[in-house]
Amino acid sequence: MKPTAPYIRWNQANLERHHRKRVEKDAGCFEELMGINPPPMSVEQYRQRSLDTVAGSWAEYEAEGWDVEKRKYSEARAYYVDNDLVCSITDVPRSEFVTCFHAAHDEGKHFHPKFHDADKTAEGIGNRRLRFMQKLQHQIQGKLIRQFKAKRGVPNV
Amino acid sequence: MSDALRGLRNQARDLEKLLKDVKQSERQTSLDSTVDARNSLGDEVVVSRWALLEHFLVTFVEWNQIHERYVRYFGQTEHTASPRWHHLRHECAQTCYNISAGANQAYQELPSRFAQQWLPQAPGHIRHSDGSPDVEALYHEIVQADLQWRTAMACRWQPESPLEDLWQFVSEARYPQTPAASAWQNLANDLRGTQQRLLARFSELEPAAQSDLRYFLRNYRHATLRVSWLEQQGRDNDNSLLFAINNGESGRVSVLRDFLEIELMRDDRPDKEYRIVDRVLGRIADAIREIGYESFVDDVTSEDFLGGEDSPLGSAEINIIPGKGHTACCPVLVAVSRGASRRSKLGFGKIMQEVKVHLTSCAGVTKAVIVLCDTWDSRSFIDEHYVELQAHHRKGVRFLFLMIGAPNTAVSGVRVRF
Repeated sequence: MKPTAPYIRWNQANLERHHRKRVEKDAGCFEELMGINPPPMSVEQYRQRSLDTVAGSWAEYEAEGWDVEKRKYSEARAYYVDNDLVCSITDVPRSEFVTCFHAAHDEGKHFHPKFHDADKTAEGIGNRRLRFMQKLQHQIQGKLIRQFKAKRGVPNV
Repeated sequence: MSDALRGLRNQARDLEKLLKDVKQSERQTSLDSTVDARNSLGDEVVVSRWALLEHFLVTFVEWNQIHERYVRYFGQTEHTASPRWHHLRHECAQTCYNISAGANQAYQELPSRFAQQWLPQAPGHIRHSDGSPDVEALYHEIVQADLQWRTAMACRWQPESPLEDLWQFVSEARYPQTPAASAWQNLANDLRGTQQRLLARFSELEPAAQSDLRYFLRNYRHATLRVSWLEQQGRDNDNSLLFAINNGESGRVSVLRDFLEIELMRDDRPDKEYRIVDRVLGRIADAIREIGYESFVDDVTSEDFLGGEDSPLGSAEINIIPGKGHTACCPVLVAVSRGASRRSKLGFGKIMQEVKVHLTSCAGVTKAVIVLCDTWDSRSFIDEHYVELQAHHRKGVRFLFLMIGAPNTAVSGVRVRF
């Protein structure tokens, strides 16, 4: 069941680290999604968006993800995905956030905010969900995530 | 159950739901109509008709190809794999043909509509804003480009189509003429260009990032059974991006040639036995290099693995430990182990026990034994197995021990002198 009022906390140092990634590594991405002008997005805006993503999620699953920096798999985590394909990741007990980011669509659009798929119509959101399902399938096939367990909105594989 | 079969079953369920939504959308005439996707995505979710058709075509082409490879790879038949899927393939093939052949005006627009989605507006990006490589993004671009190319080729319904095996369901004509064939061909040609750009992007990555990407693509190739011996020239993309990136060193390990030429003493061996071992060794080396030893072991020890010429073992004329394979004694035995645990059924010690039992019951018939392992303890081997194997060696049985190194695609021989 989707949490209606998630009480998931952030470790402050982790929150600031991931916020810094979003505004440096993915500069412009969240700003474009959230209509933040002028940039950059604040820490509080980022924190709120991570909570909103859980509350507004249409998909929820658990998996072990590939940690790019450590180049090995992390422990099992919970993933929440909303209509913009923003993804919030928490620990399995859902007590603490790990990160929040925008799951890239395809063709490198993630790196060019102007190419964000910003269609807010019902069919636009539905089309994004179809693409996400396909992308999730490829993530599982490539073992970018493993030990996958569908909870809501996505099929088991 | 193998991962491949589990994946096929899950994807078949998704395909059934998708097919229902596609059939219900046939009432709409425009590609931009909003259609219900309740079966695929749940109640109150709508999508654009073109997006639903795109998802269906891509999903069906991929599923059908994996299904076809599964049958060959695991030594199954279409009937043993799942009789229910015959009906699903038939239904999907008909629907796919109706859509992609361009029977009506809306469908004839599909290739250009897909081109807008599939051909990148900007070159493939491989780096974040801070300059660090984004391996995950490049992985998805590569996989998408490959899948989109195969879908475009399939929709032509022409020679070398990935759906060639389905023509029987849609037309009496061997190569049915479809109005949209040339449009799909043009899209496929443009996608080849995308693939070439992605290959160039790959070569710009740092070695560590390339290594990570190869790992993901190897897993993807295993999940979709895109192994070299099942690929068909032209039909499956004779310059496949997946193979260009993943194929490194050649398959055959030099020690294997030593074994063939010296240990088997070719002049003294029946030609057939020599050819079987040659083929099996080559196939095992290719399989481990392409999918990794973990996946190799999982597949050949799964309950749905029956072996055969298209399998990772390369022959139907061998015995396999553990597993089914030939029930009668064969000249060649392949034994697969994992770890050294005495409690695991795949532990080296347990497997060697089964090898020795087999050699006793197939005395005089089994002449070549290939043992695969990922751990080696010389002391234990000498204490527990050497003397018995030496006795068999004196009766003409020859042994080759193949050890998996690091990464788990590296294979080398372990010298054992009897």
